[in-house]
Amino acid sequence: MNPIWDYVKKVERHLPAARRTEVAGALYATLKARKETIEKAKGAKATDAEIADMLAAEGDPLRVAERIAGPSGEHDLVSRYLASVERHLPREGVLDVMAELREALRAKTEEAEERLGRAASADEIAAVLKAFGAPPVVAARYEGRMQLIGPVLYPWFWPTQRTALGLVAAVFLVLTALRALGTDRPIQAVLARIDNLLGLGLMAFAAVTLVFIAVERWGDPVKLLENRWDPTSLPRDNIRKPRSLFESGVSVFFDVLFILVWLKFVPFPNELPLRDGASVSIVLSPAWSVVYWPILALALLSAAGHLHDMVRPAWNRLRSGISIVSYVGGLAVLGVLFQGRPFVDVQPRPGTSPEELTRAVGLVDGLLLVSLGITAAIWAIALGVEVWRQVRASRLSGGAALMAA
Amino acid sequence: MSVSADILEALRLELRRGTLILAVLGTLRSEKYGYTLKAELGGLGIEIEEGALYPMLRRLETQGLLTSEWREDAKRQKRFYRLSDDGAAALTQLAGEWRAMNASLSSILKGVGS
Repeated sequence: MNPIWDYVKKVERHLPAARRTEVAGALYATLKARKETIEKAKGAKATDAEIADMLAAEGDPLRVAERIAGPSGEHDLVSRYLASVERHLPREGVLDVMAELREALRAKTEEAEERLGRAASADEIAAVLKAFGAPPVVAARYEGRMQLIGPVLYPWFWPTQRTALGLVAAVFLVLTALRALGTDRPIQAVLARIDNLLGLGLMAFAAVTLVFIAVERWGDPVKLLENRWDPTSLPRDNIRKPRSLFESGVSVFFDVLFILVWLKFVPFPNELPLRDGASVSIVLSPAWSVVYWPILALALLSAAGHLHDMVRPAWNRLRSGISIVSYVGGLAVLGVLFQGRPFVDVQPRPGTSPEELTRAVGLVDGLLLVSLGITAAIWAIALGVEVWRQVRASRLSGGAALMAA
Repeated sequence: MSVSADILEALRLELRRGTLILAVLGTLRSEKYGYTLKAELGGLGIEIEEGALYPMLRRLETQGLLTSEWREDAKRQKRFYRLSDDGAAALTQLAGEWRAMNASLSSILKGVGS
């Protein structure tokens, strides 16, 4: 029996479902680290009584859950602020720090309300948060160490390095591959130049680092951020989890690939083999020409949305609006295509019979019918979810107005 | 030529940094939570931002100079801090240093700004 695990399970029961796994994991890690500190201090394993004392000091599981998850009526701006600070904090002891910051903000808000003689408005709560400090700066104070690249720029440092290295590698590999294609032994030609990639990668890393250090040294980003940051524009992680850079990068890659295929810059294999020596070419039916430009516009919009995710990964109204327009547009395009079936035509190659042509059209058209049908269903659900997120964001923002009324 | 406001502010912050820890340790001879600690320091003319106070408390606790526990007060969970035994010993030593430094500085600064 593990008393720490039993305790965590008791706390978990009182947590909101959305945060249960994440918080329980962090709490278990915190308590385990605390037990290890006790054991390190005494140089022996902690006794059951010592662990029981440690858990008793932590407090009643219900109260622990309350201070970690926050009260149910917490203002949207406060939740978003705390989530932003949390993202920049080291994982160790994060629950404790967050609980204490939550309590401090609550006390500050109540102090402001006492002074005003009424509930604080969203603007007044934003002023409390602004005075508390920008999230990366507040979080950095918990680290308590001098940094070459400070708290404001640091969150951008590794994503920029990864993007720069990825770009250098992609450009290098494409150029090397193109050059190698003109040689007799293309694979050997690529391998012979591959060691240059290491040098280029190191140069890119050094260049990005120098730019960051220069901005840190002469740009005074902490002062700039403290003056300019706006609590009302904090990301809404409570609406949707932020997208990872990898996820957005992969999406942009496929968007660009689709656009290149659609513009016929990259050929798409369209020959369908039927049997030995016989095949047909599948081409899109005239129905697609009606929606050629709308599809291109939607693909560009999708790429713009995914590029936006790389810069601002958290949910916001603009990105959500782009998604809604994309889903509505996509469903409209699918509607036109469904009405103009079949989706494809075939161009016979020598040696194919009329029956084989009909069967080929039926097969490809059926496959497209199923896959586009599934796509339509997914987009319809995603559209509903996105509209709901907009409504939820309005309700959360509206809470402040209700409180102030 | 007058000293620029930025330079003066940087010097003032540097001067305050060390004394703030002494003030916090001295105030936490009796148990307090963050908010009341800030209020008490403010009442004595020592202003400190919350964004700086809470990380400082955490650091002092990690160094073993403070102990803390979560407790309910006025129907709310609050984290109470107080000086540990090690903290009390450190405070005694730092207070001695401070008095000696203060005496030296008073002698050096005799006649300045008066």
